Amino acid sequence: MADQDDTQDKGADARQTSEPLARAIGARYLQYALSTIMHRALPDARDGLKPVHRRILYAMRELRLASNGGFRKSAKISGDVMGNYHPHGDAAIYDAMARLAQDFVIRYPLVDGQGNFGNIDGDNPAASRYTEARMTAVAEALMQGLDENAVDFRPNYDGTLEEPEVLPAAVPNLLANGSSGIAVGMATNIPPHNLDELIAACLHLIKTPDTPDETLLDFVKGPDFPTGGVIVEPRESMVETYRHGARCVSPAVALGNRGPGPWHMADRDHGNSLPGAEIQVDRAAGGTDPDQEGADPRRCPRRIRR
Amino acid sequence: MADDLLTNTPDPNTYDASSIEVLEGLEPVRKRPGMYIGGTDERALHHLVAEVLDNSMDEAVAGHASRIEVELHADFSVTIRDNGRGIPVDPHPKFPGKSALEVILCTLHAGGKFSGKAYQTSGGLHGVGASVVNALSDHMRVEVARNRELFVQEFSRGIPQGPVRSAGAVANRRGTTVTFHPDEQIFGSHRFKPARMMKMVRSKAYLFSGVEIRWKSEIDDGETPREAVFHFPGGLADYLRETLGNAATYAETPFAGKVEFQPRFGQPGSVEWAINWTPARDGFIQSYCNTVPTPEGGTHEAGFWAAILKGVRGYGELSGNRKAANITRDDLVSGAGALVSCFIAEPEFVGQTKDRLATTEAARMVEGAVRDHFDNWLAANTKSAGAILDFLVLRAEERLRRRAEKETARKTATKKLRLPGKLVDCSQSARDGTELFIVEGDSAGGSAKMGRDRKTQALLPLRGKILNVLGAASGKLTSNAEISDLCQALGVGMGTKFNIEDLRYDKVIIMTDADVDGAHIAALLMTFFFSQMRPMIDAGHLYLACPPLFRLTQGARRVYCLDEAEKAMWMAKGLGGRGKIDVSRFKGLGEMDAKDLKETTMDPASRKLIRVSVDEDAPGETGDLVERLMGKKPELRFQYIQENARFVEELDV
Repeated sequence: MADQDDTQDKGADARQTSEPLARAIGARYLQYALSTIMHRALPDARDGLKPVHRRILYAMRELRLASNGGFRKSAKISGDVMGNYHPHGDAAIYDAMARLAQDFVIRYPLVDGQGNFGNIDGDNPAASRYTEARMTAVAEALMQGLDENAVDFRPNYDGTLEEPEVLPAAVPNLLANGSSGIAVGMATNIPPHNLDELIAACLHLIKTPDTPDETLLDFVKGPDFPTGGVIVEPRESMVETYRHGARCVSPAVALGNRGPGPWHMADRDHGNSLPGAEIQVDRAAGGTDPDQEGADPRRCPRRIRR
Repeated sequence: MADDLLTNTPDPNTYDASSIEVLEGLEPVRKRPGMYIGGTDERALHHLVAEVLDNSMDEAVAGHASRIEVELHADFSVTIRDNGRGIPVDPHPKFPGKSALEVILCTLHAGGKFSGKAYQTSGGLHGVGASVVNALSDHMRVEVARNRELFVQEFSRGIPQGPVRSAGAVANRRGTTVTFHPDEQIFGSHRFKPARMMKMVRSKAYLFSGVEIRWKSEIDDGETPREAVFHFPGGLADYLRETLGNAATYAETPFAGKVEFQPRFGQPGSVEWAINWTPARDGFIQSYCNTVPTPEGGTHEAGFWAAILKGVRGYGELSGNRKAANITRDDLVSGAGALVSCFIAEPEFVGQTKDRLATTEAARMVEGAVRDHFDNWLAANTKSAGAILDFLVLRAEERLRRRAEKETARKTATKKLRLPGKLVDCSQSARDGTELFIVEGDSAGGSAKMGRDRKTQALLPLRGKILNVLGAASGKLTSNAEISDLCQALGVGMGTKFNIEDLRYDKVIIMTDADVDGAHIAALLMTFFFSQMRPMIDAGHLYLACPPLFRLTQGARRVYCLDEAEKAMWMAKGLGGRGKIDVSRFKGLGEMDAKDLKETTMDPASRKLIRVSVDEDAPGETGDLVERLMGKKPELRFQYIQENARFVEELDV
């Protein structure tokens, strides 16, 4: 009897199927996980950009915001990015763009901001209707060659436009600016490096492709953070770090005073801000808990103040 | 008009300086008795006796009188006699030609109780009591036996009927005798009641153990003795014992005592008290200051309770009874019989009828004096102390329970209204056939709300990603707003508290956007239901909605496709419209009109629905997988992704 009632009741639904919970969760979770890994939280190794950043830069190029040209309102840029390439919230886009303009966060800013783009004390940028932006020379260098069809394009989310799959990246952006991101099951955290050192290393690699890692460290001695600082880690430890790519370097950056140390980097001036530095590397990728995206943004990068 | 206003016609009702009156002498008392004795009723009438008796009591408390006689005569006049010093009769230096007696009785604010020289503590303090009685009596006779001579003066309605005259020598007598008969012009038909008077007289005797009060009445009301002698050396303890009678009490003997303020606080005065707790009757407290009853309590009472409360709590703490901390003053009062009498210099009362003591010092001194004694008493009488503490804890618990019950009752009564504010409920209250759509975000909520069948379909928009219940601590789980909203909307509890009978909807349908974040939210929700509301899935109440993935447009024709296969079919067949077929991939539910959403996803007649089931063959496998994907170990997640990534064909951007 009950069975009959059951079927009758369910019969109201024209097309009803059943799916085991394991499959239902598994398929959906996998979809999300892969999308996050491949198209959201982690940078492409070739241009060192996450999709949102790539789309911002490409949209700015489409708006012809050259580094020697005029500024446009940030709202216009984020609106274009959202409408043309990136079907997500505009606030997230503006935040991502503002970050690219912050010279205390990004070693080589890709966006040249006009107006209040926040400061090292943690104050937020002004609203996107107030600030203006254009590309920096570094950003232009990243996109050099797009006109020459150096990279493949793919249709945008609604098939009306095309966007580059990756930027030509004349600049070794991944290592120069570093990157950090938490996806599902994996995460990344790459410190920024000095561009001169990187290019010297590149030139050397071009000449002698099978250079051992240790020799490369003669060119690139270690991370180069936008706020400056002194690394007190011994060279052997740094070699290990770079060899494994997953080591805790957090105590490696001594803050503030320029004491004696194996490596000494330029100490850039950031106005009246505190003698502090941004530790871009808190916990290197593996091992720890790279939980789902957005799990705990405070975990990295971590700022230490004195 | 203007003429009228300006015309200065003499008016008999002119209000000018001549209409301002000044009442002199005792006139104000007769014109406005309410201000002095609180009215003209029976209570006010008896207050006259109290005023005169208080004067005698003050004399007794000051140590000059040992005996007071109160007589009620057949004509309803009253005589109060003491053996004190007697009111002075010599001429007053400030009023030549008048005796001090006449000044006291015929002038407001005249008396010996202002400076504390003649009396250290006194019930009288305004200097109006005797004069008021005089003013309100149609006949008053005062006899003063002083210096072996008797002086007499008579008054009527406050006016002396002649000067003080000597009535000869008296050998064995001293003190003041006041006989008065209340003025019927003021009090009308109110008469003295022997019972009421005797009660008052007796309580006065309790308040000062050093005085003997003799009561005599020529009026017989049938129950009040015609003659009695009140003398209570035990003071308030005797009074309390008599009041409680044979009722069972928690303390074997009342906690009673008397403390002089002088050694401790350097001020004249004292406090006397007696308290016991009884289950037999409601609590009561009678407090007095300088023998004047203060029915509304005041600072001395507050100080007394503070001392008792702190003592009880302290004792509870000492004896390891943690619940004692819950005891409040109300618990103390409700089962206690207490008497507090204090004597202080210059008391401040609220009003002339002295219903409440306002002297702030009194609270501090009474509390200080009683506290020490109470602590000692509790320590010395452990049996009584234990019984009292148990009783008070019981009362406190009872009170808390009552309050909790009241609150729960209120909660139950408004349970329907306590659904989360975001919930858009359906109108049908019976569970059968109802559906709850859990939608992602407000942008989808709007069109879903319009597209639903309001009779059976309810809607709960969730904000953002819900908590991963497997990754979070259980404390976080219960405090999470989205989760608790969800539980409230469903009407069920979590984990072991889940009862499928309480489920408010027949179908719980997860309707998230068709993008990767929607997939994630669906996965998180399923994890939540799996780990916290498993029976719901077993019983087949959990469903997934299937919003279309594609919209095909050809000219004016429009078709929604649930999947690639359907899309391919339509692409091959054509829609029947003109031009090329336009394909758009849906991302959010908010992209659809309410009508389309209803048609494709919500309407039972045309929608597709997936029922989530647990594979009965391998139930453990499901749990393992969920733990792997949602648990706290990222390595397992990573492994799963590596193993299965190749199965995912189409990826969103």
